[in-house]
Amino acid sequence: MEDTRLKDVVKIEYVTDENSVFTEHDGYIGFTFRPENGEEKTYPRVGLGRNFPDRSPEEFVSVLDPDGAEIAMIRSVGELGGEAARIVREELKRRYFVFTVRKITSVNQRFGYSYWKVRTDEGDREFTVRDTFSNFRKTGSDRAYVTDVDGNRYVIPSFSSLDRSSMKKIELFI
Amino acid sequence: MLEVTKMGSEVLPALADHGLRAEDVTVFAATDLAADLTPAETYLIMTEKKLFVMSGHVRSEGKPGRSYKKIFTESSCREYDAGKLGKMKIEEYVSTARLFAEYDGEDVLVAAMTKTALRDARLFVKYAEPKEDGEKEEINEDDFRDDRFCPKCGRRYPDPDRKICPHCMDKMKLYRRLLVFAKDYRLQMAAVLGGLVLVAAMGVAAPYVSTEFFYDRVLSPGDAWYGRIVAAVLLVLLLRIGSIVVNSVSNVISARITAKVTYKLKKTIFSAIERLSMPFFSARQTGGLMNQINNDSNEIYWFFMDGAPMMIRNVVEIAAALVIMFIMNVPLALCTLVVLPLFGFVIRLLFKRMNSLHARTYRSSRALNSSLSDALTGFRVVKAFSREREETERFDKQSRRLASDSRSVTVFNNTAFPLATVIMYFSQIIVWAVGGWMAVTGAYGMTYGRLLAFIAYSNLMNEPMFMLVDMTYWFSACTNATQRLFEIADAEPDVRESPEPRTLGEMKGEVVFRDVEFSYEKGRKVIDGVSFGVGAGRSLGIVGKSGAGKSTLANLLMRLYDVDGGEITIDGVNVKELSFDELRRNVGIVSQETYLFVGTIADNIRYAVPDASDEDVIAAAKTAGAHDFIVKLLDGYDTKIGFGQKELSGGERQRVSIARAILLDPKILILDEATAAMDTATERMIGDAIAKLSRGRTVIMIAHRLSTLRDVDSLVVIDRGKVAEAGTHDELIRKKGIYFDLYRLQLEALKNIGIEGDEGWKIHDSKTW
Repeated sequence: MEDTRLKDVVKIEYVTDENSVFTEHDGYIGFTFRPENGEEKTYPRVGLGRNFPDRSPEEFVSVLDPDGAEIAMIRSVGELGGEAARIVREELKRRYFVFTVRKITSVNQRFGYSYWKVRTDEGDREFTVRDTFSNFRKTGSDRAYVTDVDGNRYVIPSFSSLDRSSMKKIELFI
Repeated sequence: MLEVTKMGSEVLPALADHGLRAEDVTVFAATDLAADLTPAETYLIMTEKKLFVMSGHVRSEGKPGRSYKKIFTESSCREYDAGKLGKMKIEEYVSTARLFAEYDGEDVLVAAMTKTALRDARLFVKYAEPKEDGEKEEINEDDFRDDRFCPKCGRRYPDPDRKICPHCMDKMKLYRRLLVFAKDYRLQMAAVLGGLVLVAAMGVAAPYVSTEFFYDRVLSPGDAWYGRIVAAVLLVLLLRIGSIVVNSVSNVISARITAKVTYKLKKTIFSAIERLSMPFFSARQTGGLMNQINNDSNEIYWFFMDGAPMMIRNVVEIAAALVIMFIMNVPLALCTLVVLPLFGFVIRLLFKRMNSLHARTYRSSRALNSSLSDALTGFRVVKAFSREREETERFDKQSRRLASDSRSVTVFNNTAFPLATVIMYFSQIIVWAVGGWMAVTGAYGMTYGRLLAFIAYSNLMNEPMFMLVDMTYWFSACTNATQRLFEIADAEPDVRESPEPRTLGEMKGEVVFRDVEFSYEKGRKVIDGVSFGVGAGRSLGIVGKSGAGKSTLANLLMRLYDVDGGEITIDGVNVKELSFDELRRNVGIVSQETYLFVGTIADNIRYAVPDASDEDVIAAAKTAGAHDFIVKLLDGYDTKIGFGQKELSGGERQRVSIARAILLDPKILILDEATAAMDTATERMIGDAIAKLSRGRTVIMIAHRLSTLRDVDSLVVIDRGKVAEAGTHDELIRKKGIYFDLYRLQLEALKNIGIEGDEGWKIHDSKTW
């Protein structure tokens, strides 16, 4: 008798071009899916959730129903056909939108808060961070994000691409 | 018009473009992104007939003052018929959120925002979303009080729950308040201050005596002091000893005052904390809070013990040295001053760098500590998966990092600061050169002794200058600490006792929840219109998934939080009208989190009734099923529990907490998953005891193991903050809804292991399936 493999015990329903259709609507996506041993069902609006947002943002992406329950899993966005991959990427971009910091103009610490002025892909922004040490989070050796008082994230995609003066301002937190 | 966001004058022309007047608008809010997530001003404008969503940009024109105005340029506008609008929903993402609405049976994206605008969007939904019954949402004034901005400078408060503007904080006011705590020690404080000035004065006088006075008078033939070496030496000695004595005395006095003042401060803060209600604690992590209070009061202690006296002394010393130098020789004094700004600047830079090095060291030591305690607590897991080597490596890596960080601090301390003194050395060289020239030529009445005195004074200023720069950091840390402590002292409890509480006399114990609404976070209802009742002396079971809001209901009844809408009554009286004492004497709760204080078991059971007799304690423990394990302990009821003492198991802790609640003998007893950690036999035993006890008592039991609830008179099923089902066990089984499903699942689980439902389960119902 063959050994039972872990992945055979629990079935992960993967999305393929054959068993699914993604549809694009005004600002959201719809999904039609036929599970391996089930009937085809259409969901007017679904969400997407990355399972490893830091390490592999394009792999293991869950398709979720409006209540947040998983309908199926995208093994890798790249494996989907051109149109489906485009729709999925667009939606991921919307959901995981964060401000990407390109330059740090100033960081002023004042009574437990720090006041940041940064240049992002979306233009200049100012924000306030409470307890900077715990809200500055490294997600790899070269990247980090800062969470402001409202919960918005500002991602520094690569320390090495920052200029010297920007780097100096955040050195303390790294 | 309900202005969730204040409507600026720039909006009016845009309204006019669409044929609207301000009066037509029913609800107004603004978000900060356009639907495609590009930064833009987006206005959500609800009118009787339509919802307008306008995006565009605002620019300012003219100079600040009279001609200043803001102009809104619309780039897109969408209109929705109010009649076709249905439910609205906000979906939250990492940095953004989007507002969707049902429109004509289909979902549409209405607006996007960053989380900064989330609060306004939630409130917009609250007031603009069409209600099923066509009713209007009750207006809560709090939602419109725009107190998110500092009234003084207009900046947004960094933390909406803390109305503190770091830019406008009045530091002096803070310190004056701190002085109030010291007002009983005026005399001592004056003595300390006098002592400090005296020490500084003597410190400044000493160089004069040992240089100019000694060389130019004692050693100069012809002077009245000529040859009186012994007297001169004695004078120097006297100054030194005097300075040491005065310094010690003033240190002793200030140590006493500071200790007393910080003690008083801590006491005030602690009693303030005990007075505060739950929301305060949930907003801040409790563990961190206690730590913070301790750290903050230590910060204040050391600032006043070490920092402030040093600052006073340094200021006096620098001032006195400068005055003396200027009296002795103005041009030379100016020479020393030339380097001073540079020196100050360099030192400031060095301290900045040092602080960041220190912060980094602190971080790596914190990381090391936490991973160490992580590995030690999880030691079993480490062993079980044989990950010792990896753990050692992890530790090694962090340990190396800490070592390297500590090394850079030490290296920096020992190189940068000595280098900085070189700058001061330059000033000495200038003094030597210019002063030497003056002494040789006799210009400006310079003598050999006076030159030496001058050099001594410029040296004297070195250290205080160093200290003063460091002081600015110390001062701001202390201000910060003081601010945080007073903030706690000033915090208003959210749950306030009625000023004229009603007394019930003998409480019967009839509990009614009527349309209760509650949210921990604005706009996110945890309890949404819950109504149910329990008759006096009856029992009620509350069932539901975890996170459905069951425990919240118990917290609301206890008034650990206050309801946002609706009311909770006991014997027909709103709980808000009862005194805390009456409410909490009559309502006993055993919650999921059993908390036992450090002390004996008996102390813990007696917690709410300190004068209960030993017999009562035993009786309560017996009822709670705790007696059996307590008698087995060597020290019985006197067994110490808590940190480093005897550790009780989860089930044992629960039994002690139940005994504590039973001893209080409340009219209303709430058991919130109180028996979840016990084995079934013990649970059954306690259930029987409580059933006996519940005669003449109202019992509310919260559980997800249905067998726990086998004896209750009626049941409520809570689902997503609403009452999904209510009725007796039989009624709910017949209804075949959520309760039925739960019951069947749990019964099947028993059947699977070969138990055809035990006698406690109402097996006869299974036939009616």
